[in-house]
Amino acid sequence: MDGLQTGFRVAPQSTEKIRQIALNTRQALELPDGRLDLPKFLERLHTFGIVVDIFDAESAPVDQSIEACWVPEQATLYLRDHVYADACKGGTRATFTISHELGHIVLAHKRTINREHATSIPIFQNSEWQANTFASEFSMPITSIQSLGLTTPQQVSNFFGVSMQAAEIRLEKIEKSKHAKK
Amino acid sequence: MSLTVFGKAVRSARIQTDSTLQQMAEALGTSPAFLSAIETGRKKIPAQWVEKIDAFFTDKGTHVPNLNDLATVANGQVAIDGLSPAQQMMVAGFARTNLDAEQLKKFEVLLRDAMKE
Repeated sequence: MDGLQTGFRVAPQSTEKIRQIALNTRQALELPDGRLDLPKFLERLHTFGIVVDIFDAESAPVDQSIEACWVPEQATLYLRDHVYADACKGGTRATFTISHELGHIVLAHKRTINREHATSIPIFQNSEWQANTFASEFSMPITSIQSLGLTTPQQVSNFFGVSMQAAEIRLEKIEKSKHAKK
Repeated sequence: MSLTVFGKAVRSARIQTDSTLQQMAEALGTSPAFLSAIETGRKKIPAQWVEKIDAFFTDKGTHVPNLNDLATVANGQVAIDGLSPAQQMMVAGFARTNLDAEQLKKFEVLLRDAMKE
């Protein structure tokens, strides 16, 4: 998970809006309910004009300490080889990382050169907060959680192939938003 | 990196055959990063890899047309070793002509007609 302190300022998006975008994206990509088949999913991005480039330390086209990054000017999603290997094993970390990057893609985040301190950016305009929120909404769609009546982190983790931590945060946020509306 | 013409054809064939980069790397005894590098042009495509990839798709019941030519274009170079001296001279000569696309097409037709048996 990318920390908010590395974020940059982008157009504001609310949680509700990001939720809708995440649900739309799942539909547009024709993804079935449940856990993502990451290798197949990555392969299919080609049909949407997205280049997925897997790199190792020896031939890194970007800084080799980078695990994953989206470069909009090249329409390329760069993934470090060990992240891809984890994705092929259905790893929970890769699920989150790739969902997070997909957030940058569909939310049309563009990197801008600025010296602004991320801490001074409101979270709704913080690129990393938006991508993290997208990752959560995309990998654990609210519609499935509600229709299947998933109420424990274990159930959410099993059904979507996400980490227990991600599942716990997801359920907590859903619970909080229920109270906020009352 | 953008995909080369070779990379585009290979990725389309993978989708068509419902296979993944990981499966292809395993079947061909290499890493996903290597295949990705030759598909995006970060690395030149070694000749034997064109054959291996061709065989991989043939095995899956798909033929990728002109894979060799696509690899040549992607690599941006034509190997002339192994050609006859006359062919080598022709390739070298052509590389420096300033014929436009239409003239080249006409010349190609002329050569094809001339070589008819």
